[in-house]
Amino acid sequence: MSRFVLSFFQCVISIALLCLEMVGRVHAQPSCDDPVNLPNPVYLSVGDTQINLMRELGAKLRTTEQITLIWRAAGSCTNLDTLYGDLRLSGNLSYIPAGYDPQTTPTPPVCTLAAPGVLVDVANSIVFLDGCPTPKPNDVLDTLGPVQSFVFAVPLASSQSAITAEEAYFVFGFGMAGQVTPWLDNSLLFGRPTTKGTVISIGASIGVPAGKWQGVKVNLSQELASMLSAAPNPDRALGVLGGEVYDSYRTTLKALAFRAYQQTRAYWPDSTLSGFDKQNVRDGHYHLWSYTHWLQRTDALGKPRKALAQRVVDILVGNSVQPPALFEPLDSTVRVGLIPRCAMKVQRSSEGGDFSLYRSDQPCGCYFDSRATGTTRCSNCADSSSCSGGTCRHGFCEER
Amino acid sequence: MERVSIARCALFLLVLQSGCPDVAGMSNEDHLLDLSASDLACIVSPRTHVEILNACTNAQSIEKRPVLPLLRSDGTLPPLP
Repeated sequence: MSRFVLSFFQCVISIALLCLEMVGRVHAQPSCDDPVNLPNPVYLSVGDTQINLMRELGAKLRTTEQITLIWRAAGSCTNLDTLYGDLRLSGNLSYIPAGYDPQTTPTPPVCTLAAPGVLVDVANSIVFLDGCPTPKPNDVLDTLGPVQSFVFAVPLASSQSAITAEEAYFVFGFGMAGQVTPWLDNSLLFGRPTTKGTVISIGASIGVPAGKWQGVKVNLSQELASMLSAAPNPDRALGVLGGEVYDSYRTTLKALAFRAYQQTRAYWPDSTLSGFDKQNVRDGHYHLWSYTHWLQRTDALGKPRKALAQRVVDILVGNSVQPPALFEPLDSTVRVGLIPRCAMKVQRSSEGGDFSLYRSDQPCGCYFDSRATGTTRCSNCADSSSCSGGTCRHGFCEER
Repeated sequence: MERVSIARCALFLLVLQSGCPDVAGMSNEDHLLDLSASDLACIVSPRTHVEILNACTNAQSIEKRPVLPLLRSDGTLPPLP
């Protein structure tokens, strides 16, 4: 009898231990260097404004090419320093697993990488490189990517609808001492740390260097959006965000129209407050934007150290790749609120610098409109013979 | 000759009215008031930075002229603290 009881308890304990182990396995984070579950890894260090792009593009790359994007989100200058200094990534990193759907799983899972970790393959900056203190080494390749807009945002309940460059100069350069009504409470002015591209870029447009910003410095864009949304006095609250982050918070925040120096009227990034066409960014009525940059170390021959990373970068920025991608590369960019350079009509060569007219050699404005807004005035086409002038690109008759 | 001038004038006014629309809800008076202010007209064929910023557009826009106590009397900005 006693032997039976002992065996019974041994059995129960064994089952319990087995269950605990299984639970532990379920909840344990996988290793980032697991070649079975995370095949063909490309390690990136990106701005937190680019997380949506990682999710969208990563899902397609994982499904069609078995490439696994693994990344850490940090400020632009931190990302550059990581690549320039050959610093290693370790600890918890986000990644795209098999079957990942960005629509149903907003927050990608995390894998872990033991020290000493790995070298980063791609670093991202959302500002011109000279906006960060460390100079670019000669063996770093900089690939210009899609355009990222920035916004001054307020809680949806705010009565404000526009801000001028002069107002922004006084608000974020002087804080409440700037005496700009209604933004008179430093605890409700939400900026970012000095390494973040958002304040570097907007600062260049309003004349307030990142190190001079007054108000609360919030580390993460998403955290800033949440704090701004919940601000106790909506009229006095004001923050800065990447345009595509703002797009995710339109139910609780609204962008302010911005009037640049030497401009007569204030405009939103889109042609209307509620639009998604980025018309004013594309044609130069909206001043607050910069290019995304995608950087890689090169070998002695000047080629990127990891060919797979180069392919990812090429797809991301819209360069042609061989073999061609099995999905439309521009889709991910447009879907997350970025603007492919081929859809731009203006350009600039420095942070917050002057505009000049721009015409892409391979324009994609029609395609951009169709994807961003669902409509376009351009004709559909299968090839250029069906276009009366111009060229058929991405299924639409573009001007050339 | 006179007809040409009238036509040019009408065209100019048409461009002004269509090129710089205001946000929904602003009255016609507001709109006309804007046009008589310093930004007399939008730019039809922009080439320079300032012209691009102020080019004619169908986008909604807002005119804002805030009171800024710290602005210098000559309209320039004081240095940052």
